[in-house]
Amino acid sequence: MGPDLLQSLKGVAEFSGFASVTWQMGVMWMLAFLFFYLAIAKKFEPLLLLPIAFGMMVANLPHTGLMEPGLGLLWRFYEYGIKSEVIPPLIFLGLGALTDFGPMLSQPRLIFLGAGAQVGVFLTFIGASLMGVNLQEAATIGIIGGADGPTTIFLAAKLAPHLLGTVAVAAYSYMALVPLIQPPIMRLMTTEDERKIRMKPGRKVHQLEKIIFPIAAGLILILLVPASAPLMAMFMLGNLFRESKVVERLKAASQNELMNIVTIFLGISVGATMSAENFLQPKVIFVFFLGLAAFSVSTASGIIIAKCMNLFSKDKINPLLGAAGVSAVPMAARVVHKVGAEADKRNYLLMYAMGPNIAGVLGTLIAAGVFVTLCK
Amino acid sequence: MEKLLAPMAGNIWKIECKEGDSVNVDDVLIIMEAMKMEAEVYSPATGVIAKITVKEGQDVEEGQALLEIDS
Amino acid sequence: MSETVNVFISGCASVFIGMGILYLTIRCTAVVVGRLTARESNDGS
Repeated sequence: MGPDLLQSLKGVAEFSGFASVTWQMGVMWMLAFLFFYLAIAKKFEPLLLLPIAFGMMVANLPHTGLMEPGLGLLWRFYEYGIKSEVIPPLIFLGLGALTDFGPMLSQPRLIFLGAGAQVGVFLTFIGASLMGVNLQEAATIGIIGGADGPTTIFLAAKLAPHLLGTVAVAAYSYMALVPLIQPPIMRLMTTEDERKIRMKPGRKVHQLEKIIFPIAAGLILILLVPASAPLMAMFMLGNLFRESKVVERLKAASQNELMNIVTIFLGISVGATMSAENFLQPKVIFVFFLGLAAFSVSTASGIIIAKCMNLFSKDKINPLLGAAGVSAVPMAARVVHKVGAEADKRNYLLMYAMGPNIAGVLGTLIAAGVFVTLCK
Repeated sequence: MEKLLAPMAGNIWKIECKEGDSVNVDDVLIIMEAMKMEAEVYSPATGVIAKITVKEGQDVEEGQALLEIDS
Repeated sequence: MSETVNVFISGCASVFIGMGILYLTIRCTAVVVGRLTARESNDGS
């Protein structure tokens, strides 16, 4: 009787995970606990951070087989959701249904500011490859500067899956930190007088224009960069649901239920890719550092483009609007408004900043399409 | 008579004054909301609020009249 | 290295060309829609 009991207890010790815990796993749990704290106590992007942190915690437990190729539950979520390009485009469907292109259509010249901010993406790409990472990794790191979560995940899954968790966390953290990262750059690059420039009210936009836009833009931009099609097509379809006003149910489903469902699977799959062997590497610090640089350079390049446009145009553009070209919608636009109001409290830049902000989303999609095409 | 116009498109979140109130230049009269952000609208003149032409919760266009001040 | 520069140039070019075409599209749509709606309101009166 005695030896049998001992034998069974030994068996428990063997099949349970305790004996196989490594210190690296412990570090990852600590990181997950930190994310739980940030999400729950600090309300820091909780919709994404909470599932990411949980995915991260369970993916770093021994013997679970959760990420075992072909068998594991989280592996299937990741493989069929992210790797086969299903979830990011579905998120874009919801974003399309939530986006009002009105402010952009009302001041069309401001869309060039959304293009300007992408220069930062490509500059960071060059910087990263000079520092010795390969083209695919450099592209994945550069796109962080676009400040667009689903696009970053889409590109990472295609080009550098081992960096996916890291760049996703970097992109979402920097998006949450937009109000801290951008203002010092914006103040440094503009004069008090420039920040006081008031914008001329835009023209009125007819509803028919809003209906034509997603169709026309979908056609043109997908023809220009075919590789951007999965994200661009869903974005424009969602927007057509919204503006056509004849499919309220589909619009509501895309922006609420469907979006919420895929957000769950996006979060947990991204977290599950963050295994200790993927994450605890010197490269991660490098990614966070370059991601921050990408973000700052994108902010600056948007402002520079605005100043260049002012050299040629009669109606001056407030160069702060260039900072809204990074596509953190609508955080970047809010930051522009706040910095503008500091200089002149009667200057209301918010709705003007929404134009470049949304154009920035389109710009980042084009940039991602180019990376997919040329860095494959 | 001075008209206060909506400085941007958005929703009237709170009206911080009543008809008949005397106000100073730069007092906060109305708080608007757009893109989940509050924006204060300041008095353009010193005087008495003659008429408020919007209600809380109403959506307004840029340039729409919000209230009138007798100055 | 030349590959990196190539990606940089084609990337920036694509983004700016894309936005340029969009700009023209928005402008043209506005003009066409403006004409159409003007005609409608004339018909109505």
